Amino acid sequence: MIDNKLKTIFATALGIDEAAISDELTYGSIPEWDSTAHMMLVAEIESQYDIMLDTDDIIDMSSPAKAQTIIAKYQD
Amino acid sequence: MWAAISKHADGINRERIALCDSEQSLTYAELANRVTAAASQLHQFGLPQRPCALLFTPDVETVVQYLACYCAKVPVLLLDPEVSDTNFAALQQRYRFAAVCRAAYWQILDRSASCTRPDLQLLLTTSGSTGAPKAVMLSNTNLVSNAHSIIEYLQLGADDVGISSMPLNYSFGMSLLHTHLVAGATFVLTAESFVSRKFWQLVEQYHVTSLSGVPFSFQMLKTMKFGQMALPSLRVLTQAGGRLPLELSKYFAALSAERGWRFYQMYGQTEAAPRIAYLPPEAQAEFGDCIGKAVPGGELLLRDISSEQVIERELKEGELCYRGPNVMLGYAMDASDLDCDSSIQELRTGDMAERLANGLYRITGRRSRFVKIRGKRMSLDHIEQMLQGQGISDVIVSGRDELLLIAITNDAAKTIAQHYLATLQLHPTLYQLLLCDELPRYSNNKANYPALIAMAAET
Repeated sequence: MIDNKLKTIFATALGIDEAAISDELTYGSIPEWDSTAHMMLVAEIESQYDIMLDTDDIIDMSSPAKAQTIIAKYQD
Repeated sequence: MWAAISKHADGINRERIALCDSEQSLTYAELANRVTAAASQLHQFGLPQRPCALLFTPDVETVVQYLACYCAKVPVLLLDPEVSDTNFAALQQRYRFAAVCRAAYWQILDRSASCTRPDLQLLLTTSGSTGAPKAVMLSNTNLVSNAHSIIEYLQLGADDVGISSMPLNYSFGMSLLHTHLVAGATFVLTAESFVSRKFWQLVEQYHVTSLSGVPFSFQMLKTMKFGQMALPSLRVLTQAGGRLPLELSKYFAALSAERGWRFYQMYGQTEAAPRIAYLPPEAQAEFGDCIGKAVPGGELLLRDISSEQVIERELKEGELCYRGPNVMLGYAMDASDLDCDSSIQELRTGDMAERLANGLYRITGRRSRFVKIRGKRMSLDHIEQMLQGQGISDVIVSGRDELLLIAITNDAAKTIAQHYLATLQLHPTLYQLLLCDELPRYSNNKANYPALIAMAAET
């Protein structure tokens, strides 16, 4: 499961409750996670972790778990 | 329109792919056969000249039915495939559709639906998801002339490949479909967006040559580091659906110059089927804040808002007006309007503009009470009326592009407003609810919209 910091980022970007953030959540699986929310998510992650995601990261970031893996890649 | 498309079935493009989706592809010859067969079914149903609705999913089967409406002269209102039952029922009551096409299947709704005016071909709603009850009536001539104008200035040819990067019930998305088919080019149908891997796989697989979007799409592309993508087949970028912020305009102008792409900023309205003006790529670097010049066959002019006189002087602000063969027949508020004989010579855009010495036009402001959010027009008056209708007596709605502002005075009103906003499916960053002790009003009790905008900027 993802850490609390990322959970808060997801809840803010998608405009949903933290309780609704689960491993089953994927891009497009709920109406709230559309392309607008995806861009908010990218912006939040980039600013809060102080990293720059590349094109592949952004289009691969289709679930909270994937996002966690992508962020970890930059923190090694 | 169908004549302009089906001519490719007999010419050198007959074996060229016209349409493809994840399931199938059709050559122009195959498309002509499929559309002709579908049109004869529409004749059997007795639908020519009867108002119909079509839920426009981006797939080959649905586009075949859509084109069959042109072939059989069935006037059709385009809808978001996700339209709710409530919204559909309201539209059905208003326009009395004879039939509806869902997932490419027709369902007869009203055998006694009356005939529309003979030149009515297409109905488009203008106000995004607010469901404002007004549809733009377009004729076949409106649509064909605009498709030819766009093909001319974009220099589109049969070797081009486009993709449905926007919903097809949205006038910009519809226009992409039309221009590619009239040009004898290929059009790829998908519901995927720029942030999806599948979208870029399709771009690569079909060697897509042109990409299009609204301002937000371009913001997305920039965030995605679009400049680092390979995109060997790309030749053209087109942007419409609202003003592109200057910083983004400069970014894409520079990137396009470097990569050898032609980048077009375009201006239009659903009421003009939809393209009105474009900025030629060579003017992009110096005049990126302009909407450019009228599309081929059209004419732009400015009118003084009090005297209505045409303004001849340079750099003098007036309401931007447009004349051309693509100006709509009129608005339809209900079924009775579908049979009216109105015509419009000159379209008043509701935008204020000025003309530069070189003849290019620049938007300076907006006269009408609407904002554009994610490329969709939202009528502020309509939203205000809807909220009043739901029981909020004291409410003011204003905003700017990409931000809707709603001012209310108590918690009960806030709950109602939040519920209404949920039905609009707006991301929380695209609106602001302001709880005020007293709403900003002038002494004559009229809403003070500039004061509301100033209040929002402070919070």
